[in-house]
Amino acid sequence: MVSDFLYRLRALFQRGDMEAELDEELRTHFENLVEKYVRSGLPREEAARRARLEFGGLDQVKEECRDSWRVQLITELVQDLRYGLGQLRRNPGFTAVAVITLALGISANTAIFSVVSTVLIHPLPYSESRLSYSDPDRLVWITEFDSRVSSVVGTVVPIPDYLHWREQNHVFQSVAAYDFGRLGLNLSGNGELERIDATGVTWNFFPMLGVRPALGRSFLFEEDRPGGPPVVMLSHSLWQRRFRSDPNLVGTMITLNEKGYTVIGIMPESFHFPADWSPELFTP
Amino acid sequence: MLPVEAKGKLMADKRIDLPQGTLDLLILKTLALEPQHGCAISDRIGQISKDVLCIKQGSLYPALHRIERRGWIKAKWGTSGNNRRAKYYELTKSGRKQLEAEESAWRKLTSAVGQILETA
Repeated sequence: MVSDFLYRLRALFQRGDMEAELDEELRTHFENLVEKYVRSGLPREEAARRARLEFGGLDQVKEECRDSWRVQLITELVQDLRYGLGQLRRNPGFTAVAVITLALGISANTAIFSVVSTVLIHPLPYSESRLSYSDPDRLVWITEFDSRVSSVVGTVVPIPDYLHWREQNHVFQSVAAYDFGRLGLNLSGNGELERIDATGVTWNFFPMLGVRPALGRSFLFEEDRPGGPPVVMLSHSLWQRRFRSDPNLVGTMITLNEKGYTVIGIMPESFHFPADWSPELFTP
Repeated sequence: MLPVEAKGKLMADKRIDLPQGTLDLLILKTLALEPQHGCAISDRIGQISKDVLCIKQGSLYPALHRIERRGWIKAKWGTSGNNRRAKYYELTKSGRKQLEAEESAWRKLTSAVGQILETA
């Protein structure tokens, strides 16, 4: 079994060597024959002729030798497969262990790769070439760092701090923020009462990410202040689910926590909120 | 020139065809004594059988390569008597076992065939 396997490997990958060796082997034999005839008293030319005759076609001999090394792909593959399957059937315990090992290995790999793929390999999905400054490589997440204890202070920035950062910023083209807390809003009217995950974002949040609404517009600067007009943007999923993708929804009022809000825009389906949850409503 | 030609004809008449599978047995037996190269194997077989068995190169080399592939013999390069590089074949352990098995099978077969030819 092993010797046959090695032989076949050699026949496959060191074909040139094997050919050269065969050539030399046969040539040596041929010359020995010629010498034998010469010794028996024949002139060299006649001896060579005789040796050729006896050899019966050098190329034919070579071809037959090659046949004996030939890895007969189809027939041997089928034989090997049949043998392998037979072995598997005869040892169901071994087969089960092998199959389970493979299954676990493959699934673990797939799981890890899908995480690596989204986290490390694919860029953040915010790159609309229409907005020159939305290159995902230049998107950073800002937080506070306490040099006295060498650690990140927290992931949340108070609104006054954020405003300071924005005003004194000379490094970034734009500084935007979103509400850390999940905001639940009760959507009523037009069907059942429903609690919707919502979050507040600064007016420049979507433009900074380079995301344009699928319908309508983003928030305006003057809407982003306490006591500003009650406006709201909807996620694509909420728009589809609750409003049956009504194209005329933008500009109409919806009721949230028994207050009227004007829908100003619908997010594109491809938009992915940069957190581990997906709000369906956005307010300034 | 003529005498050799005549001898050739004579040889052809004496020769008999080998039954299938016998060639492997002959090769293994020839190599049991010492490693040999292809040319010497066919010479030796011819010699011992008094030219009744003449192994053609066209059957010798494919057989050698086939047996090598089975792992019964292994090849290595050496220098032959006339100072030429030659490929020597050597019996392996499993080749020796195979030779024993084939030898006893052959003896059983010939004795059985002989018995039938004599008594039937």
